[in-house]
Amino acid sequence: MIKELRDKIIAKKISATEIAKEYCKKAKTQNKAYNSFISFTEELALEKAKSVDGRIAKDKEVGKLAGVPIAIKDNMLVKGYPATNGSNMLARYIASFDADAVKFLKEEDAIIIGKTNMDDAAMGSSSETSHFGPVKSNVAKGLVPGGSSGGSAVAVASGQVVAALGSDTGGSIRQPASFTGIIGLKPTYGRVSRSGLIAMASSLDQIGPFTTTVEDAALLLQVISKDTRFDSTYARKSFHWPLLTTKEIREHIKNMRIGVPNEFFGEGLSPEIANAVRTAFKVFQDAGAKVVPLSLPCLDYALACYYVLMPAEVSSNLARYDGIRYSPVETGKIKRETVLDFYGAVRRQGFGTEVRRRIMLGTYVLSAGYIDKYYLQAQRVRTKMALDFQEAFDEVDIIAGPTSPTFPFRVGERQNDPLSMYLADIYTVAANLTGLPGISLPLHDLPLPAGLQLLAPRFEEERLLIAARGYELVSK
Amino acid sequence: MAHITPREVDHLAMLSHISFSKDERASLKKDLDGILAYVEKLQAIPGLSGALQFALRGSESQARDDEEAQTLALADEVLESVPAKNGRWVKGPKIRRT
Repeated sequence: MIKELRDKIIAKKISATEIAKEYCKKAKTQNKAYNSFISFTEELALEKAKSVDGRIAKDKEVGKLAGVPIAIKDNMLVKGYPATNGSNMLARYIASFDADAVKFLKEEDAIIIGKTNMDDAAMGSSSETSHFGPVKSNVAKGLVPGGSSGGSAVAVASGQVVAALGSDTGGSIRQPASFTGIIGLKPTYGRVSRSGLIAMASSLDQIGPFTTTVEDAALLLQVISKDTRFDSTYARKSFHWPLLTTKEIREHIKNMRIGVPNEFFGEGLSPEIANAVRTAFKVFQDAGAKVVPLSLPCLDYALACYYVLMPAEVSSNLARYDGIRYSPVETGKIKRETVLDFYGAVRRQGFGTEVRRRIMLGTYVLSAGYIDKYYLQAQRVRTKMALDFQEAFDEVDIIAGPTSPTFPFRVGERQNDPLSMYLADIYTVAANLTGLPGISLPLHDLPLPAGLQLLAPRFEEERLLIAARGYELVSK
Repeated sequence: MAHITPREVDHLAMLSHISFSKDERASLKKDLDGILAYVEKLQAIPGLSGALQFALRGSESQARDDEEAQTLALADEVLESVPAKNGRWVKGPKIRRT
């Protein structure tokens, strides 16, 4: 879809300015129904569109994303515009520089339409906890769109934009992609710079695209994975999509070994989703791939491991929000006698319930007397998981299973039971803990959206996207 | 089984620099007990050695070579984003005592 739109613009069948105006208007109008955007960057969009049209008129080169309307999750900085992180704490914050991913999109002439809504501080699996109101699903009234990148997912799924960026710490791209019927890609940890991404859990966070086609996801990954000096965890391995023909993709699928862990089909998985995933495996087999049953016992511990390590990192990363450098209210409006009382009051006002819960949990698992039992033990489990996956990938090329155990659940259904909310990510967290790339693809012939998740070894996004493209071709 | 005592909740709140009402504290204790009960399963995993091991094949070092220092002229932009400033200083609220 990106290529077709860009070609149309370059061929002057339509101007980038017309596209920018059309999508800005559509996004604003539809936002009343979906609340997928927190703010709009119309001035930026029109300025870029004018620049693109000017260069096309003079037959000058334009970028790979010239004229393509894109949305950015509101935990990534776009210079001069609000970056709220979905949170009251940053409701008044204006970004002082561009995130690297945003900078690279601008360099390739993308049209940034606005900043999308998300769970408070990126903590959630439903996009219900945003300080700016919940995101509403494009699928049906009363259902959640998934989270925490729900706004980006709905913006793409509803056609408000052609593609969007989200962030994924435990499934926050893949799970909302699954719940809204589109594609969501979490790259290998270290593939994409995190400079300008508001940190949640620094060893788990990764930026990735939401799109409606695998080709678009590959193109966006190519753009956002460029080299940078500003993230020391960036591995300096930018991604290049090889543009294979349909015939070449089908050849790759014929030789592919797809591993299916038993642990992805345990208690709690919807039978309809399980059947749809097995149908997807049959489709791969009919195309010549070999489906190999596996056992990865570490997967039974992944969610527990995640809910020790992630809150620990959260408690550290969110310590900076102290009412001095960042504040939900004007300085002087919160008056307290002591520094600790002041911090306590500001942070109580700035963060929602789930954020405060995770900060407290993280503080507990790092505290004296408990750090060995919880945090260090979880780190050992994490290392064991990474080794188990490494061994599994000696036997198979791709590991596959459902993205989430259920269909999109109802608004409010899990708000009072944190554990039931956390279980929405039971299949996705392993990829973050081990740094593996993962993609969610829409399953077919179901009453509601659900996703097929594919995982590949670290830095094997080419293999992952070939498998994904193959699924797209053979499952039609 | 209760994993966390009310006193520990208060201590954590102090460490986390977050204040809670009495009702919030009770609800938080219940939630934390539930989550800690769930993550308790990590204690029962066999085959983990006492020392942390990082034996992944192909772990790339991401350490940077020393590069020439550069000044990023972002101070003015950063100061624009703070809640209050006094010249080039970030302004904080008056606190009577620590």
